[in-house]
Amino acid sequence: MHKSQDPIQITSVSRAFGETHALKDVSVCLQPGAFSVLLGPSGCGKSTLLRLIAGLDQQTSGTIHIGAKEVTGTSPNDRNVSMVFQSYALFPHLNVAENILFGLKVRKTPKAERTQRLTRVAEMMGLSALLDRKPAQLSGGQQQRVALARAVISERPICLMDEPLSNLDAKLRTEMRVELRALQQQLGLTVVYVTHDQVEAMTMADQIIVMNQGRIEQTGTPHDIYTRPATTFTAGFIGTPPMALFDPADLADGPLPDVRQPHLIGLRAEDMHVAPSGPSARITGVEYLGADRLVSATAGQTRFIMRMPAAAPVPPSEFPLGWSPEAVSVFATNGQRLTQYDFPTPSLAQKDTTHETA
Amino acid sequence: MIKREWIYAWALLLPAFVFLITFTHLPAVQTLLNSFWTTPKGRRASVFTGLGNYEQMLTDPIFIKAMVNSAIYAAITIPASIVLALVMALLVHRSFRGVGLMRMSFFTPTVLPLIAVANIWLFFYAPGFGLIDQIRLFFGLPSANYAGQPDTALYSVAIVAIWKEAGFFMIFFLAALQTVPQTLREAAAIEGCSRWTFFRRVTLPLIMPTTLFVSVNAVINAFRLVDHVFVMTKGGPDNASMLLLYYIYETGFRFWDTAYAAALTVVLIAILGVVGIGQFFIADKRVHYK
Repeated sequence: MHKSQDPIQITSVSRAFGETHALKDVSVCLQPGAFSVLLGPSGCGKSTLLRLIAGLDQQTSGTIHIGAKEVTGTSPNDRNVSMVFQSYALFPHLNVAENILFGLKVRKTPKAERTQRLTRVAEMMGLSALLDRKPAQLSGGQQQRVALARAVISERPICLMDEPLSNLDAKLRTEMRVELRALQQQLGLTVVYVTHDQVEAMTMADQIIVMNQGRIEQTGTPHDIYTRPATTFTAGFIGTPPMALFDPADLADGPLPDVRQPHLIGLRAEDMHVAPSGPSARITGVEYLGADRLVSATAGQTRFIMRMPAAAPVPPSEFPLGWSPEAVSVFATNGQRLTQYDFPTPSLAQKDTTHETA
Repeated sequence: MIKREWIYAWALLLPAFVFLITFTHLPAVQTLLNSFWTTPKGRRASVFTGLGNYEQMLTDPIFIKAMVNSAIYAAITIPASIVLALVMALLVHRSFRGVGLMRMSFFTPTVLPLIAVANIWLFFYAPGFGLIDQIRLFFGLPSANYAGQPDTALYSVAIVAIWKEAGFFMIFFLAALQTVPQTLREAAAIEGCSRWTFFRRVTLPLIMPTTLFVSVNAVINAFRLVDHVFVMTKGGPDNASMLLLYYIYETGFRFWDTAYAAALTVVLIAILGVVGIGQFFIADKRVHYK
């Protein structure tokens, strides 16, 4: 059935399109039964990597293993994966039932079993009443469900998703995030999910693979990636607002680690506050968000954004900046995190509880 | 005010109406009326015969021959040109070196006038030194006169029509194929769908509107395009390549039996009307429009 023990092992994979390199020497292991998200800005190579796993495209060099089997050069069908496309890729001339059953028919599954699986999946996805409709008669959210149902009914252990929620409106997207995660958990699917939306990545992923310019920047749990970004790219890409990066000179006489090389100090917006004393900062703007207030300010040469509860008073135009010393990230000037200065926090050693429900 | 606008509207439409009525509607009605009368001769004026002209057809061996020929001709050229067009469209519906040249060479017969096409094919068919005969002689086969023999004349005319039309239909199929999204192909590939199954179950249904349009055109052209018959066989030998429209021309403008020609024209229009409307009614249920 769905459950899989096979990890997807990607080793030194590159993909070049003529002179441009979409992927450069990428290695990563995607755990079985986990929700892995490939996250990055447009053109970072995340969709290319997904298509290589699917077998819709071939890598220029490197190997991809699914379980013990090397799949390089094999057809998409032999890889035993299902896929959900951004455009849903529903067949416009077939009704919902025929769309869902397309793969089973092609693979000549017996009719009795087809009917049985269709009934079950249609019920699970809430499509039972829509089976006779054509895709054009469905809303975007319903089309999305049909595309998912087509992946689910294949009962293949690995499901690849290419920005499946990006064509939905904001409200539906929030609902579908919860549903997708629940579906993955319920079926024990190995999901590889491509997105440029960090909220989707943070809310659904067991493992986030942050990509940039054809390379992997960082692999880790949402908590790891948020609190301890491995590079200044991740620090700036993850989080709204992104992590502020200070020249240490601008934070002089604050609680800073003793670093004996040129470096940058990273601080999350919510880890900063107005302190009784500290380096001086000047407000340039205030944004009211309801629960929070985003305070834009400069300290020395560095511009940054600080998050404070809306209930707290707006700070004066010049204020002393404070921060929690354990929240400090230190980066070398080449952008790499200097892990030796990480504050040993017991919370990080704990089990990841990001998606724990009850 | 409204009345005044109507006057403007009619005034603007009038020139178009005048020409349309003069050159299309009046002759059509006149043709229908003429078909119930005899042809006026020098000494004897035209008299009403009712269905006399139509009764004459039933005993006219050339008319029957022309009907049979037209049916064979349509049965060959319509499916052959459509299938060939689809095959050619599939061939050039991808990118490879020289695809532009290939598309152009498939389309070239469409650009050439049918008269010129017929002349080119006359050279192919010419006994003794034509292209086909040179190939036959090279393999030691006896010389053959395809366009000049009763048992092959109709088919040699039909091949010219296919060659001429397939390129034109190809353009429509190519345009239709390019509207089939690539992601559908990929989604099917993930499911283990073979190329043939994808073509049969997805591509063909999605290009059905184009297939219907092309087939209606093919039917009309099967009866309408006879220019090459003038150049190649003139309906002969022994009426072997006589088509309905060519017979109408001969009756009307060579034997000047205008009333009989009018009756034949009515028959031709009736056939085209029934077939064309029938195609839409039958096929429409099976066509998926976006």
